[in-house]
Amino acid sequence: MRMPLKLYAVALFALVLLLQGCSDDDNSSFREYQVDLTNLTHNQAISPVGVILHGAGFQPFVLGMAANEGLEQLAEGGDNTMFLGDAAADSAVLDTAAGAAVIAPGGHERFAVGDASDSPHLSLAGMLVNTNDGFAALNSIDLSGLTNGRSLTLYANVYDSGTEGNSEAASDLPGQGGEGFNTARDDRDFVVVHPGVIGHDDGLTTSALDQSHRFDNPALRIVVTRVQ
Amino acid sequence: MKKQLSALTLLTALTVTPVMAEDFTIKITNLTHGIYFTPFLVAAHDMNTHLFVEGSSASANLQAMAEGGDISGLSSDIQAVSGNVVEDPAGGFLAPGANSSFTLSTDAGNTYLSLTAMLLPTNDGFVGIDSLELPTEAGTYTYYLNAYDAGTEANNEVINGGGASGTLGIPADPGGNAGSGGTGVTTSESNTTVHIHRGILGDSDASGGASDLTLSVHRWLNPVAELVITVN
Repeated sequence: MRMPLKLYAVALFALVLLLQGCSDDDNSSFREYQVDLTNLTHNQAISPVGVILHGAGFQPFVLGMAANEGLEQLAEGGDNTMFLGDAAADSAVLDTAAGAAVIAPGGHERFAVGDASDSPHLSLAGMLVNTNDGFAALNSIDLSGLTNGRSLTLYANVYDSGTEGNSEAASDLPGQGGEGFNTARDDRDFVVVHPGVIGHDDGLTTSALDQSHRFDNPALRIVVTRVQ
Repeated sequence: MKKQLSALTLLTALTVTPVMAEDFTIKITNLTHGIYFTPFLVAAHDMNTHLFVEGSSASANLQAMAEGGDISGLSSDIQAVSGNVVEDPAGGFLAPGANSSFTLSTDAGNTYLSLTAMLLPTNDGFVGIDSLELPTEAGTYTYYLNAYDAGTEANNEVINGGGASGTLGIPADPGGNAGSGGTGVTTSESNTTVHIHRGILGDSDASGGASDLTLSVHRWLNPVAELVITVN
């Protein structure tokens, strides 16, 4: 039904080209983003976050699909090395940044990422260290409409990588001194929204967690500001 | 790329009116850890029609869907007001992590989208959205859906095959992770309107306790589903 309207599209296209030619915001300019994170949980430290700026051809994970090993290592053990390393090797990835340390509950951390692409997308992930394989994440947020000087506030939900059963046993929780990553995939092997932790105060007698470790979505507040 | 998108945006803003017939590609993904969705009813309708209204009592047809997964009554309601429906696009249960893609064809004037499916195993929980205004500009739009409680049945968390409206109990657990012999979590429902589901309690006792649901499998946090609408 839009066929006869294509002529208008061409006309408008040309008009937009002209208008954009007058802007100082041309495609070759470098865009830099300041990314401010706040841990909103009550008592879940978040492991050093991996931040990825990328084009539309990259996704750190797909809901309902199996996690890659880089995400598994981050989600089970809080180690962002492979998560960021694999991303940096992907031709669709523009820039990456690694968190300096764990972000404590209520804590903040600032990142900077940038590139000259006119179609940047933001993804990030960090483990909730008192879960088996839970991580707070943003997945492919389109920043192309964010103009210089403006901010965007986002909230990250907690996902379950599906790579480790949610035993809540101390031996399986990095936050309790237990094991981080292992190669076994003994859960459903697809990424979904985390069902939350139960804790021994709420009936899971084998859990090392208490009421303070419970959380609900969202777990991270993210303010993205384009500074260049 | 960006310039072409800008042109398209201007084009649609100038020329598309919200009364035209449209085809939408729709994808629904189950984001829960261990809850199955019964067959969906997906409906396009006018602004005066609702499958459910938050804070209002459920209709008898919503109750039949939420307690037993029966969408026939809700589907008839939509068709009676010249709405467009897609019934059971997944061809049965939509399992945790699974997705279903399908086409919704709308007639002129049916510019709002609503959908519902029962959550199993729950007493009267459902995933849904009420009257989302359908996008008109070409593009891909992502929404996240919450779990609701129909407010029509006490959440006793006992699996006894009870799927008929007014029959206390949960019809089944398609995933086979539930226990049995639960004595019942509660016999009353203090909020009898449609509201955000408080989640399930569950227990770790497979042959007794208060609940037949398993707390390490059947709990969820919102959102429970991802809805992606593509306008071509």
